[in-house]
Amino acid sequence: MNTTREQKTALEKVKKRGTFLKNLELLTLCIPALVGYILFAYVPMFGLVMAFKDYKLARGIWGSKWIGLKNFEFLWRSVDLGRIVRNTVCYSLTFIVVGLVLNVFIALLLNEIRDNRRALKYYQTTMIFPNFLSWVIVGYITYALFNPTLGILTQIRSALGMTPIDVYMDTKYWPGILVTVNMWKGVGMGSMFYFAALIGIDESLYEAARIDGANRLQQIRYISLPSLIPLMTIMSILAMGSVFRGDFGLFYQIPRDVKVLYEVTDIIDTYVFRGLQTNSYGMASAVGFVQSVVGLIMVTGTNAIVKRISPENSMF
Amino acid sequence: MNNKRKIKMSKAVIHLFFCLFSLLYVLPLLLIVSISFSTEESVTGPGAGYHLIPTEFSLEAYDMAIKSPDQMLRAYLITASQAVIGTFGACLFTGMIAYPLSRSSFAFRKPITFIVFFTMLFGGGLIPTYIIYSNVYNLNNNYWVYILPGLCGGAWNTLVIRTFFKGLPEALFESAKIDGAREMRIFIQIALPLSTPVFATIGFLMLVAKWNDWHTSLVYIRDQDLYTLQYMLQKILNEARFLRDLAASGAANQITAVQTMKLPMETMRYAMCVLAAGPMLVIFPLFQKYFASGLTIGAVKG
Amino acid sequence: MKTRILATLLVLMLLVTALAGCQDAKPAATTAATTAAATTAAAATTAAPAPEKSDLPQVTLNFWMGCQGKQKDTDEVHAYLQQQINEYVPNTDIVWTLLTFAEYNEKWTKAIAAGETIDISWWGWYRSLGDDSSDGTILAFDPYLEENGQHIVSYFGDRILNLHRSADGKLYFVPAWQGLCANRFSMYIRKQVSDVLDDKTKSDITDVFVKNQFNWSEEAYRENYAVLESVLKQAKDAGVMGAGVSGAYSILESTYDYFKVGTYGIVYYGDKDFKVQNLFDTHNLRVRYETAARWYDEGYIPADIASNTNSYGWAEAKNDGWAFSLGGTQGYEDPAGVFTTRYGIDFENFSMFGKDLLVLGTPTGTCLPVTSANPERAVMLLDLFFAPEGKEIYRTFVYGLEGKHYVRTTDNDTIDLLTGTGEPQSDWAYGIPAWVLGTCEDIFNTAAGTSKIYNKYKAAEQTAYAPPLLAFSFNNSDVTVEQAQIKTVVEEYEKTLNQGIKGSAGWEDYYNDFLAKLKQAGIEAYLAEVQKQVDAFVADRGVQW
Repeated sequence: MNTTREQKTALEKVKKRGTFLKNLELLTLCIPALVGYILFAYVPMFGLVMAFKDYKLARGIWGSKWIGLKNFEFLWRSVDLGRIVRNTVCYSLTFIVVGLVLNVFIALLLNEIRDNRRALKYYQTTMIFPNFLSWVIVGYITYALFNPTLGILTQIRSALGMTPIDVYMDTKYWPGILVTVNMWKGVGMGSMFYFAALIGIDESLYEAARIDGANRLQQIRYISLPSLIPLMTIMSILAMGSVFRGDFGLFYQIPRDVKVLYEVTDIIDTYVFRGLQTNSYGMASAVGFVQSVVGLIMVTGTNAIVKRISPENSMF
Repeated sequence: MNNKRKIKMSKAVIHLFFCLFSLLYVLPLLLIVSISFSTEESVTGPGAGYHLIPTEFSLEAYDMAIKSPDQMLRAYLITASQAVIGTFGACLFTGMIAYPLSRSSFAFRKPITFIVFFTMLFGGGLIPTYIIYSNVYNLNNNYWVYILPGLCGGAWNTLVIRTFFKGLPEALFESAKIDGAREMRIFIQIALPLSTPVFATIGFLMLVAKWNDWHTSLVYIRDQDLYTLQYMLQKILNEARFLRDLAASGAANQITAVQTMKLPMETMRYAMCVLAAGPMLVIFPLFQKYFASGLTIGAVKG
Repeated sequence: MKTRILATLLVLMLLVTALAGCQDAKPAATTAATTAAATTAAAATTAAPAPEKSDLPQVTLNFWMGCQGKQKDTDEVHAYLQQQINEYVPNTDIVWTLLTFAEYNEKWTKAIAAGETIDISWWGWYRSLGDDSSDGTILAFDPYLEENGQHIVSYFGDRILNLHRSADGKLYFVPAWQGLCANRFSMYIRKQVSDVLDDKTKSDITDVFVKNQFNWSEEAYRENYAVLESVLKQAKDAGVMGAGVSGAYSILESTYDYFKVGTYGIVYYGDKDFKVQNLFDTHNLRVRYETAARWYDEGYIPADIASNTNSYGWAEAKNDGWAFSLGGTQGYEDPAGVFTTRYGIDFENFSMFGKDLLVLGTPTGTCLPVTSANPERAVMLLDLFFAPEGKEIYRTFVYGLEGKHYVRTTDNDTIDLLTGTGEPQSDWAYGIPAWVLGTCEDIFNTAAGTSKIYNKYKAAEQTAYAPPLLAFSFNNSDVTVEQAQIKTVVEEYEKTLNQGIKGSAGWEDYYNDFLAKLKQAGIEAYLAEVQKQVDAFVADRGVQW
């Protein structure tokens, strides 16, 4: 009896030490990156306090006066608050959903033809090319399309005998245009991650399904898609963190900052740019703070929901 | 027989779809290249427009952009070196932290994930960051400001790689542990080789981001020999724009008088784009081979 | 295996480059400093005018300058410049930080935020004097003027210096002089258009505007716009209008901009109470927006003006571009000739100003940042540029070295530039804009222009009209939130109204929306604060019309 108990505790001790050592090893692997985060991300974070101060260059961060929530009034007492929040959030959510569907779709299609390596190279290279374009250049391209006098769209319309329209004077086209342009720019890189996941799937799974009589579509539905779920979940949760932010270049350059379109193109970031001058560090910091806090709430909320459904896919 | 034809047909349809879809990308690319090789007058002005083939061919935009070739070459070198070194380092460190986070047995997994993720949402702001980097870490006007801050990799990249590691079959790790392998070894010999597609993707993403970066130069670098390519091109463009706007503001004097306004500004923007994007588009196909192979688990098992 | 070796080799090669890059990270300014140090010793033994100055302690001044960045011969010129300066201001080493204007503000603010020593620096149009002086970002010159800045004081004179003093009566900024009444309001009109105008219109352009220079009643305004409209109508009928105009011009540009207080307020000329009005709620702007709407409907403003911001300029469009533009002559002797050379088509220039108006020199000048470690010596150095001895030093600073960058031709003051024509660029061997430091009266006569015209402007300054509130600068620290919100509203509505794109049918509703939104954004609180500061200013300085 005694020996078994001794053996048991000895075994437990060995196990515990084994686990402890393993955790130590894994922790060691984490250290370089953690040091990086601490030094370069956490140390400067004291600057968040700027949102609550009347920052003056001459006084520095610690010497500037504490003014509590006054900087936040720029945002929450804004005359356009409803509009900018609505636009920012709606566009962000739309981008997440449409982006997800489109990226997965393209990735699945690419997966079907991946035996043809040359074609694959060509398609992927062309699709990622907008990644190197600044929004200014993309703005020029869209302007070449929509220019009311000389644009390609105008030329097509007059060739077909239709009256020319000035897209820049009418708000109803812009949600569609902005979503399309954003998708166009992002689908190249976006689909690559899903594609990378798809090529990691074991071929034997598909073999087995084929033997069982499943056609290609069913194979996709029951093998490919489920294997993409972890990635889709993580991408969506991460994207929820930026739901209160928008891509400034997209919303400023593509509509060419035409004021009459602001009803559908003005977001929090363009609003801040328009209102603040170089000296308003406190207010800019406050807006950023609000965007971050909302992002945090959204992520933890979404994460909690995901945890209920499939805990292995949640972030933490 | 019928099944095979069906598959062939659907593949053909997919190819057709992509051919048409890629036109949406190829046409703008051709447009940009064409404009970069045009004269300024043929492109601007109300009577002109954009053409796929330059109406008046000219190299003036490139002449303007490559004003001093040795400076340009130096900028290329700086950009290339910091992008490559930074990417290598960041991929390594990011992989190193993503792996433990993907192991469900790791005791610190939840707190560290949160620590990493928190940085994605909250940041100190431009001025505090500058003060710390410059006064405490001495990174001001220093080549290493391009590389060191980015080495941690970023929360987004870390979590994506973590997802991929999680997706690797548990059986492999089990068998390795039974063989008595240490975690470090498992990481290097099993997890890494199987993850080449995701590292290729993330690596390329990082490379592109570092290649395109001009903001770091703007804030931290004063020495012209340390400017990145994108920033150098931006500077040339800004200078051209500044000279042109000088007459409009009240700050100039009469000496500005005899200034030729023929600076190729619009076309130069496109030339800049070609100069900056060109190398990347050439490099990308080299990354391609990590996608097409699709290592099967069976191979590693053997 | 092979690819791995290649990859490692590539990485090693890049590492070597990186290390090489590391080496060169040391500021190049050390070369200038070392050569300067070598020559200082030599220079100190030669000419030493003021005996007491030579026992000044050795000091290094950090001078930040906006220009075209470091050029090929910068170090050489700086070494010689150091020598010249040390003749009059000994034991002073100058370390220059040269930045282009595009990046100047970004780097300057960061450097000051991080506490980096900047002893003296260029300061200009991108910053607000009212804000910087009240925030303490820049230091006052007053403690140092009496001992070290007498040339500055005598060059500008009390009148001009007092106009540049901030609300607390101190001088925070010394302008780089380039003519404070040189920008005379005029019309640049394409010759193609001016040829089709009848004589009455041509004389009206000058007569009516001169007559109405300070008359802002509604009739006078409508009269002004009527003249412009008749120009457009005649041009359109003759088919030479081109693109027309980009909006209903701010006719008051020549005058009301000088009477603006605190960005969004205006005080009417001659108003003894100095009452601050809501700029946008005046009959003047109402007439302007109404005119713009009518012009848009008539086709004088291009239909796609909202999205088309750049294809109607004269550089691109030549005679298909704007019909005319209103703007200052900026000190050109022959403004029409300048535009003709610049754009390649013929221009005529009609003057529209009556009385010379004085402006502040805030677009460009010198300041003492709060991180200055040696303000006395800095002021001594600046003072040198306004002294007679400073003429040759200024010329070295702007043009470079004689023989290498320029040669004197007919007399001591006339040269041929060897570096290039027009405004200096970054690929010149050396060249700094003439308007960043010192005074433009010291320039050489070149093919581009002479210094005599600057002498004329300096003389005209004595009699130029200075609006009583010219020296007023608004300190917005109590209303920053309102100001930011008002700015978002103004930036959204103003351009649309100026361009008239709502048309005669829709502009008025849009305008009323604008006014309502301004109220919501807090313009009344904002203007109340402006009024408070204006009243204090008037009482303090005892200004009157």
